[in-house]
Amino acid sequence: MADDAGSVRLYGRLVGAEVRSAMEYPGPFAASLLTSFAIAALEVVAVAAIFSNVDELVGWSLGEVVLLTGLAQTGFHLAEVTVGQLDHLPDLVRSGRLDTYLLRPRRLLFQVVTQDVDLAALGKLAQSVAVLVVGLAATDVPFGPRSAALLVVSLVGGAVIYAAVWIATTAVTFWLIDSREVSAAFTYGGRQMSMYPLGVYAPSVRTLARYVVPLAFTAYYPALGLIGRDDELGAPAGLAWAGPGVAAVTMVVGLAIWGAGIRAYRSTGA
Amino acid sequence: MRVYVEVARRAFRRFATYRGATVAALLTNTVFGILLTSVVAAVVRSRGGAPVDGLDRDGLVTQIWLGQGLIGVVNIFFRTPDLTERIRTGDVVVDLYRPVDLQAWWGAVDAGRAAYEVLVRFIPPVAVGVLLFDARLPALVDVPAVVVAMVLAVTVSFGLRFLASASGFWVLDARGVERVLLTVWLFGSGMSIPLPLLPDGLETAVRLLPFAATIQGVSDVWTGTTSPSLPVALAGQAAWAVALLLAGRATLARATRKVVVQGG
Repeated sequence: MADDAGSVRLYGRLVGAEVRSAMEYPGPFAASLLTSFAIAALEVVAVAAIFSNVDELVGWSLGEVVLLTGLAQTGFHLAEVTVGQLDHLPDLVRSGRLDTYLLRPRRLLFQVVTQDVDLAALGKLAQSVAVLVVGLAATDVPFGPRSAALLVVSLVGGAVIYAAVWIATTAVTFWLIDSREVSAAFTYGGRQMSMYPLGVYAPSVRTLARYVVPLAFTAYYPALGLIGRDDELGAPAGLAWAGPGVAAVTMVVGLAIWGAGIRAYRSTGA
Repeated sequence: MRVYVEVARRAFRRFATYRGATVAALLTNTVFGILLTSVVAAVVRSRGGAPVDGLDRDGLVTQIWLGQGLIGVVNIFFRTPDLTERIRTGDVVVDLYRPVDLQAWWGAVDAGRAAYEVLVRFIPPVAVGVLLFDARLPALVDVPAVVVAMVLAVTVSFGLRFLASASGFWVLDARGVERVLLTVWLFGSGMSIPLPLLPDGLETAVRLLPFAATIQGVSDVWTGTTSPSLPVALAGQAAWAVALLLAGRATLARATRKVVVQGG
């Protein structure tokens, strides 16, 4: 039903058009990038401020927590740049515009995530990469092919897990009309959770983050692997490399929920 | 005066129709409440139980759940962009013809909204915090002061949001202004991290801004940790409320005299 190669070409043209239009007004565009960069930095200030009260948080140093934060935020913002437009799905359903999307010869998910390109989100992405670099430097992660490979594996895995969670929780809209808060609880809530070591949380939250919504694979296990630290909670060392596998499974489940949502969709008739 | 009371009453009823969204918002509040409770509890544990600026573990946890309860009441996320939209589309011109005060009209709408949110968005998270996470209720003698602090918090937040909306008379997209304000507000109010956990110099600076009056101010009164004293703390909140309302009036007056409204 769908011409996927054509879709990718279309997306490329859309991004190109957005970049050209932003470049018509380079001043305001730079200002909006800078603003979103500065704003994202406030979250790191909050993390760093915690350490003005303690030297270590459940055995983790400031540098190690900054690394966690950098991994969590970079994975999250990569997903946000890609599928963040899902947040507008409730508007499409309520206004009835989704019906016109369903008539077009492209995949619905693709149309929803590409309805707009938010270039200012690149500012937040740049900021989270900066945090990640600071975290890597502060924890003396050895510079070499193993670290580089683990970093790429972790970021791709993390981004795909966040995207899958975003897709699955947004699909709630097909049943309940407004999913924005439900999806925020898991996406923004997931990022918030991943910014701190798993040992901070109660056993029930840890279990959830390991086996149900596998957010532990977006930052916690990758950070352990990068630092070369044993998990005080007893997980085997190789888990750092499991991110892409876990991410693939999560995405399959997320897409299945999305598919079930589309089949359950009843137009509002507006 | 009567017209504003009626406006507030109708706003209360209007917001009572969004039940699904309210339930979903409570889910988000609870998730964030649990996550932030874990973090502040871990901080106190890592300090060997020593309190931070007079707040022990339960005191910090109280602020976390209070914040989750207040976030909807003081509407940090700008969930009602009506005025912003009317300025963007130019419909505000019709409002200016009416024989009512524009700021008082929207203030009344916001009062009705806040009253409704206290019932459905404030009480449930605070109850969860108290029943499951050892958050504290205020001392009985402090209850009147807490009510005053909450009314002032809503007034300050309305003042901030009114100014953000009014920026739409000059900039094309006031929603951009609101997005920036939202993030600064989350930090400055003590939502993302209770202000007593900040390094002292930074805490003093952040407390000088109006954002602290919306959540941290209420929390200080609730937990009995106002500094230097309760009357001074409430007076500080009241000063911001008055200053922001006056700034809103001045901005509106300027806008109606000088600006060509869009979309006409």
